[in-house]
Amino acid sequence: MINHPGAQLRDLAVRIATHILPDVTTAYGQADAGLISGLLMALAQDFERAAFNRMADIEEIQQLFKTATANSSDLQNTQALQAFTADTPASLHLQDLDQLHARGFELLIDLHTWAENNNPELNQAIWSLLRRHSERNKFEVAGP
Amino acid sequence: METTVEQTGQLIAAYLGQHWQTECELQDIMQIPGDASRQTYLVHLLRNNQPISVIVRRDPPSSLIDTQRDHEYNTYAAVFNNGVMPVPEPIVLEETPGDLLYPFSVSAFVGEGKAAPAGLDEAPMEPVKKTLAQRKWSLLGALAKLPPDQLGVDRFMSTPTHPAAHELSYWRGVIEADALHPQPIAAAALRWLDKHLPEPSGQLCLVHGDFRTGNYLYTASGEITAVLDWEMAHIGDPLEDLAWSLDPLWSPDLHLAGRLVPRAAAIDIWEKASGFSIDPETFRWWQIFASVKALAIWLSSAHDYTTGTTKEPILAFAGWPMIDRQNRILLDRLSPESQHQYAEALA
Repeated sequence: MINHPGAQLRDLAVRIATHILPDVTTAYGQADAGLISGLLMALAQDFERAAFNRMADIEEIQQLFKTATANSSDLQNTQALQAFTADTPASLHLQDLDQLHARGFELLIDLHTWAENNNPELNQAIWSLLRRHSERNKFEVAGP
Repeated sequence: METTVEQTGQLIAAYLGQHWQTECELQDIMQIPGDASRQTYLVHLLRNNQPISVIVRRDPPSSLIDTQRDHEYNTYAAVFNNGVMPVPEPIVLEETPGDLLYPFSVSAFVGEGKAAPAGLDEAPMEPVKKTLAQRKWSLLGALAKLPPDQLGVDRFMSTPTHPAAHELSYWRGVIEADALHPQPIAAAALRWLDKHLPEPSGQLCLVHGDFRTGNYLYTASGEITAVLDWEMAHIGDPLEDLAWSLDPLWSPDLHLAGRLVPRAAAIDIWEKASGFSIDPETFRWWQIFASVKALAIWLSSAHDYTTGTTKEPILAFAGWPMIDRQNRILLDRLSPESQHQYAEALA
C-alpha cells in the first residue's frame, strides 16, 4: 500500500519541474516535461478525491431524485429515477463508481430537460447540484 | 518506422531539394511545442548556399482537431494572396509523403514575434497591450467585412445557409461521439443553444475558427506578424470568431479579452473595423456557442488520449483541466443562480 498517494504524485510532479525540466535542452522536451508535471499535479488532486467525489455526486443525485419523485406527479421516467435512488455501486473500485455515476448523470440530463420546461424550482436545484459537482472536481493546475 | 527529429530534418532537406530543383542542406531542426493538431518543425536549411528557414507541419497519427490538410493549406494561400491578415507564405503541400510517413505542408518561417500567451503578462508588454489589442481586433474586423468570394475561399469551402445551425450541428456531433462520460452541463448548453438559435444574419465571412491568444505572433512593439493555425477555418458568421476570441478561457484575468483589454474595448475595436453593430442577444448565443465548441474540442482530446490513439501530453492537458474550466464558464453563463464571475462582453 502506498501511503498518501496524492502527496506522492504531487512530489513527483514537483521533482520533474525542479530537477528534470531545467536540464532538458529542447523547447519541445521542456514543454513536454512541463505538461507532464502539470498532469501529475492534476492526477494527484483527483487521486485523493476521486471516490469521495463520485459518491458525493451519486448521493446528491439520489436525494434530488427522491425529492423530485415525491413532489412532482407528472414526472417522466419515475420508475428509473426511483430505482436509482436505491442503487449502490457494485464495489468501491472507480470503474464501478463511474458506472453508477454515469447512469445517474444520464437520468439527471433527462430530468433537467423536463424541469427546464415544467418545474423552475427543480431546474434551479439541478443547476445548484451541477455547480457543487464542478466545485468539488475543480483542478488547480497552471495552464501550458 | 518513426524517424528521429534529425532524420526527419534530413528527409525534409532532401524533399525540398527535389521540389526546388536545387541543392538543399539541413543546418538545424527543432520540433516546436504546443501544436495539438500537427507535428511542427522549424527547419534551417542552406538552399544554394543561402540560408532559408521553413516551418513543416506534419500530420500525426491523431490530433486534437480533425481537419483536412489541403483545406488548411488552401486557406493559408487564399489569405496570403489577399493580404487581409499577415500569414506565413505557403510553399508546398505534400500528400504522398514517402519516407516522411505522414502528409505534410511547408511554409515560410516568420522570424519576428512570439506566440506564448504568458508572454503577454510580462512587464515589458504592459505599455503596448492597447496597441496589440487594436491590431488584433482590427485584423479580425477586416476579415469579417471581406466577402468570402473576394478571398476565393468559396472555391473549396461550402457556404452554409444557416451558419449558426450548421456549426451547432457539427459540434453537437463531436460531443455525442467523443464524450467518455455523460455531460449534463454540455447537454444543458446545447438545449439552450437550440432554444435560442438566431436567424442567419446574412453576413458571411471567412471564419478563422481558432482566433485566440496563442495563435498569432506578436512583437514587443505590439505588432502582429502572423496569424496561425487556420485548420478550423470555414465560411460562417462574423460573430463566431469575435465570440471565440473573447472566451474567458483565454485569459487568467476574468475581465480581460485575450489578456489584453476589457471585452467591451475589444468589441468596440472590432465594430469600428468591421462596420458591423452587434446585437447583444445574438452575440450572447455566439459566446455560449464558443464555450460549447471549446468543450467539444476538450472532450475530443480526452477521448483520443484515453482510448490510446495518441499519448501526446497536450491532449491529456486539454482533456482534463480544460473540461473542468470550460464547464465552470458555462455554469457561470447559464445557471439561473449565477453570480456571473466571468464578465459578459455585452450583458
